[in-house]
Amino acid sequence: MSHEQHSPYSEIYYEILARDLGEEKAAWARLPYEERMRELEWYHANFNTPDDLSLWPAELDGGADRP
Amino acid sequence: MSSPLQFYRAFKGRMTDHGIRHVLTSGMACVEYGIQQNTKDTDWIVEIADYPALASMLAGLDESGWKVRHRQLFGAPMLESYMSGGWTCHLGIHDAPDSPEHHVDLFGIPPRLAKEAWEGDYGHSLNRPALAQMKKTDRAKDWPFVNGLALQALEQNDPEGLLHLREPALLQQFAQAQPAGKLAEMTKIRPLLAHLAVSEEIELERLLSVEEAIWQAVNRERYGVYQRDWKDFYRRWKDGEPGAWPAEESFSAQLARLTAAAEIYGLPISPLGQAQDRQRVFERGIRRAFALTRATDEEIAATLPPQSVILP
Repeated sequence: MSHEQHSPYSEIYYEILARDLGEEKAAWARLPYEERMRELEWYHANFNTPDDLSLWPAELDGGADRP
Repeated sequence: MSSPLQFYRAFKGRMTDHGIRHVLTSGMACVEYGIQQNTKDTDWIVEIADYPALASMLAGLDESGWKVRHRQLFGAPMLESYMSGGWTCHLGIHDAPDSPEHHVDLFGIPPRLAKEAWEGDYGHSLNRPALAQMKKTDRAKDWPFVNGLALQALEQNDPEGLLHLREPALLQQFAQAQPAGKLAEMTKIRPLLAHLAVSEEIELERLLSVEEAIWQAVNRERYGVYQRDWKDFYRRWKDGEPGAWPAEESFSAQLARLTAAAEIYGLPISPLGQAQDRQRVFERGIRRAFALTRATDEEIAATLPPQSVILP
């Protein structure tokens, strides 16, 4: 999928995203909103992307590794 | 068949049509902000007073083609009392016969947020600084989102991003750009902002680590209270009424069953409702952070947010 450059944030922001989340996710983050969502739909349709399987949601501090 | 994104928009539309005040939060809000990809669940903060309308909406959908069910194990009854006590509800929803199960998590009072943090966001995604605060869980994988949301906020001229940013050099840069009064105000919420003038960047990194450990430790203690109360309740319930939960029955029947069990077997309505309970959790969390980081008293003092911020 093409990664048309569209950068509402600074280069430093995308560099930090790439450092923390990986280059691919940082490239996705640069896309315009509609294209970003289209790409996400494509991933959801074509891959069994793992989701957070925590019984407790993260915001209640759960985690799949918790008893 | 609906995709996770289609379902999330459809569910939001239904709540809007029913006049249910809602705010999108957590992973899907991060998707909206272009910072996270790998979530399919939707998490919502719903106005406490609108929970009866939400329960009614869900019952109606369940009777007219959707399949709405409680998810296994954790979750309090969808009642105003429990939702205002910090509990959550967790649903699995099929919006068509061939649809995958969509997960919906519902908050009344989300952890780490005071109500004024989200009530301006009804109908939208949770604002970035509040979402960053909610993402300060004790899972390391959530913290890059805290940092990213903070930087997004600051680059969109929202100074509240300074309450969450975790980049030493950028913290110093953005702090210098703030009026002194505003910075002093934010320092009361995030004491670390008073310690940005360090001779070595690594000193600031150390303080950021201690600060993160404090958030994680207090959150872990908070979570432990809800976990213990739920497990104790569930054991009493299963001792008294053996059988599977959730039973295969309609959403309304499940809700009625859970509500009755909560009353009979004593699921506490508000485990941290008393000030002394929150104080105890806060102190235990600080002791835990001390133990894990071997931080000095000075480092803890330099980074410890007020209890009203970390455990409102």
